[in-house]
Amino acid sequence: MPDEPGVDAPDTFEFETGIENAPVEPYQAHEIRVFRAPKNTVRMTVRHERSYIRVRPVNASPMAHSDRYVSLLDIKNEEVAFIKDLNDLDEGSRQVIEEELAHRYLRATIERVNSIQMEYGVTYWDVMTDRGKREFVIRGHENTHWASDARLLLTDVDGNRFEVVDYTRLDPHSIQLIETNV
Amino acid sequence: MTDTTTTYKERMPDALADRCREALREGETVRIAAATDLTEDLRFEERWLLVTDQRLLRFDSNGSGAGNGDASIPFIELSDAKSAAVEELVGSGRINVVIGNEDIEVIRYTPSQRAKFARIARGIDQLIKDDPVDMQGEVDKTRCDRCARLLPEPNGICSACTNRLAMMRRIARYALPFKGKLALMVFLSLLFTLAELGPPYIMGRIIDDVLDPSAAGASGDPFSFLYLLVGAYAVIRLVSFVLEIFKDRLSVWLGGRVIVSVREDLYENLSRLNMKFYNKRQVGSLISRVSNDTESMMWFLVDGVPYILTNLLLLVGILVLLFVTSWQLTLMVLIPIPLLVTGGWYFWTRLIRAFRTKYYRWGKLVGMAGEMLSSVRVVKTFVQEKREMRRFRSSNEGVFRGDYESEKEAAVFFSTVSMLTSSGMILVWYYGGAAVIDDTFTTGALIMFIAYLWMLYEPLRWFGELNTWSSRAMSGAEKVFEIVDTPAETEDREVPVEMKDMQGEVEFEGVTFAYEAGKPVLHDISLHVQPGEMIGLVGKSGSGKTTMTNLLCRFYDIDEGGLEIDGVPIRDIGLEDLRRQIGVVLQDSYFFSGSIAENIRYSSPDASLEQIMRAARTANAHDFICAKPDGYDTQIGENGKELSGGEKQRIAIARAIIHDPRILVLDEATSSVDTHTEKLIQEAIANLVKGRTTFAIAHRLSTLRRADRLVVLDAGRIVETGTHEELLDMKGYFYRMVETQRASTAVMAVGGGKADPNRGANGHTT
Repeated sequence: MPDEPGVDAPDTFEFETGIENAPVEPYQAHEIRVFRAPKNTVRMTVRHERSYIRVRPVNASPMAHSDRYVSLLDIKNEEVAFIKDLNDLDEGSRQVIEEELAHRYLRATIERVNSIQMEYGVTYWDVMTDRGKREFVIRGHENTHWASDARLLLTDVDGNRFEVVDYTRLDPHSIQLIETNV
Repeated sequence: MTDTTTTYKERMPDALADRCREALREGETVRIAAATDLTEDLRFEERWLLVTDQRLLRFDSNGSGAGNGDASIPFIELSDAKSAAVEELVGSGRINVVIGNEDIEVIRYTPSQRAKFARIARGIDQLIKDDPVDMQGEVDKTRCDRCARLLPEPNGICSACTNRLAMMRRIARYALPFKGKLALMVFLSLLFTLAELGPPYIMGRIIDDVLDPSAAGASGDPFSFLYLLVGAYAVIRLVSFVLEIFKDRLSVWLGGRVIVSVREDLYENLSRLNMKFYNKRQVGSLISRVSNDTESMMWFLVDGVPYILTNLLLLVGILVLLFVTSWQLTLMVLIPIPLLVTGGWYFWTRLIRAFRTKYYRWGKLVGMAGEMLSSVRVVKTFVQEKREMRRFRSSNEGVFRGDYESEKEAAVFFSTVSMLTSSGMILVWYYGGAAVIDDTFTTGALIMFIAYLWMLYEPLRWFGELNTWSSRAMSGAEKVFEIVDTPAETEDREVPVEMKDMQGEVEFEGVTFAYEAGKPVLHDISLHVQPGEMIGLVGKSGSGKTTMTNLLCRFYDIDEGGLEIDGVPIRDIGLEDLRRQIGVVLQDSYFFSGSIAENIRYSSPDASLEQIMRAARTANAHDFICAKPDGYDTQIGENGKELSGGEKQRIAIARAIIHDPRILVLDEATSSVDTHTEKLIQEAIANLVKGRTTFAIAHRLSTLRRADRLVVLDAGRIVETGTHEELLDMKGYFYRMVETQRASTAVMAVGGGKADPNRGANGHTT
């Protein structure tokens, strides 16, 4: 969450990094196993010795590397494990983490652009995504971001996220709309 | 809360409503019915959440769902659930219900529906816990009422539906005080138009009545007639010259005047709007409303409106004259006009798009150059000049392409217009010439006709532009009036309680507050503060310390619970009375450009220099101020950039002393300064705090040793209260904080850093 103005300013709580707490290395992929127990809770065990009852997988770089660099946080939002590559995990663990990540990050992929209308500095989009049809409004150019020459990331006025993976591979109509309007 | 909402129901499609009724048990009543736009497997489809006094149910929009046999989630009995809450994810959110030790996802929603489901989750939680249900709060309007178009911002104005005429009328209202001048301008424009129509007529007469040898004899002396006509021509030119000057001056004055009042209204309202408004907006975009948007309005009023006025009058005048001269020729002349207008329209829309791209790329190029120049040190240290050059080159190339595209369109447009215009001319020359040869039309009349024609075509070619011009002005006006019309949120009660002399007793009673719906920053805060008491607020960042003081200043209104000063609810106290008696000293105090003296007396402009000096002495600021070459007249520079951190803080304290508040908020007033300066500031604060109810926030716990009581916050809740000693004896949260802080500062002390500010903290509690 971006800093809310008026909320306490970032502080200098020096005592949090006191000498007793030397930095702890997070566990790595080969040391851990991740599973569901019970069904809606993700649990992590370390070498069958220790167990973290509730962990939360988050992506360290969800835009550029959505399939790598996953951090597992405990209830206090402290990192307990860091996985560079999901393939280093056993099959079951990987599946659980992939499911959780898919639930956490929602970014609809635009497959067709039906129309783009620009009026008074806002852009009205009507698109077909991998998750269904959607209309949205984008304000200003800072919310349309070219991640590369062909990959376009969009954030609408409410904070919904959309992505065009490679606009040059869309149909000609969509390509033309994007080229003339974005 | 004054009005409580115990149910929340959206209108269901009929088929679904029927299915829902069937699914209900005997005596079961619906409390919440809400549609979401996201399914449990994250597709953009409708789902309905139904909450009754007994159960939670979820339906597809066609009516199938849990509780009907074909369940995707088993329905939830409220009696099984412990609590409910929203969980914000990335790009979506969900409501979870806790059953046993597990979170069960009830419904998923996109960020567009965040506010609504935050309230609903609160309602479900209250239903589960059998608390009184209160789902109060506004649901943001995201679509336009009239055209159902998505709004550019929630509760904003639909750009497509703003009525230009209504907007013009609104602007015209600002011109009403200058009715006389307005009428004069219209009158001058009329005269000017008439004068403009004269010369071609005279031209025609000279050719026909003076130069035409067949007519020359008929009217006596051709020279006297020539003198007369040329004289008339000269007089008309002179008159229209004078008229134009006066007319233009008048329109500049009127347009400027109107914009001055608009800008004044805008600025006045901007200063009245409360903090919530500012949190949502960028300062840059607001500044652009004060400058750019009012400016585009002004140019429209100064140039556009008079232009439209005179040209419309001219158009009518010319058409009348043309028809009188020869209606057949006139009809011929009119043939290219529809083409001209529609063609102009078509090309302008394309042109605008090209220009917009061009301006966007241009802006990016300028931004990039600016970024490079302001961070030139970084670029050089990391030897990235080549990469910067590459980035610039590709951007520069983009500007060229945008330029070329737009100019290409523009060239086609202007050539087309000229061609269409000349096609009308060709027709007139051909048929008019034939008529002159046939003797049914005179040479003079033909020349006159052609002269009028030029006058007619000239404004027409700009009509397309006029459209963009006016729409830019109208969208500017829209944005300006949007702010003028935004009500100041924390408004005074109609009859606010007068409170000229506050005692300074403060009572928080079960206060809950969220900056953003669904994410409370304070939970159930209760605290009673005696007049004159000094309270130290302690806790990690984000624990809600500053938020508490923000509520006290009424920058925001509380969501739940009560906040009273001297036994009067804070909402009932006149805002001016309230703020006049609350003083705030921040870590980063803001200063206005001006002298030190002016900044100290900002809150009380009448203070004499002696009063200012007394305040500065109490704030330990007098000495260093006097040592400056210009003393109290030292110009502070924009936001005090001429001053050091410690100096700024003491000036801020002096400012608070002059303000003489009953309630004082010190937010991190002692930031990282050297030990000597810190001592000076501590003394200054001690002087300031005397006899005032004080809320002090500090991360360095030593700064709070003078506090009568410490309030320890964690995650928006009060975890401990008591004197320094009491809290240490408790060996709880505060004790651990002090211990860890001592440990880390001891390390710093060994390293030769600052003296340990915690030493002696234990003994010095008052």
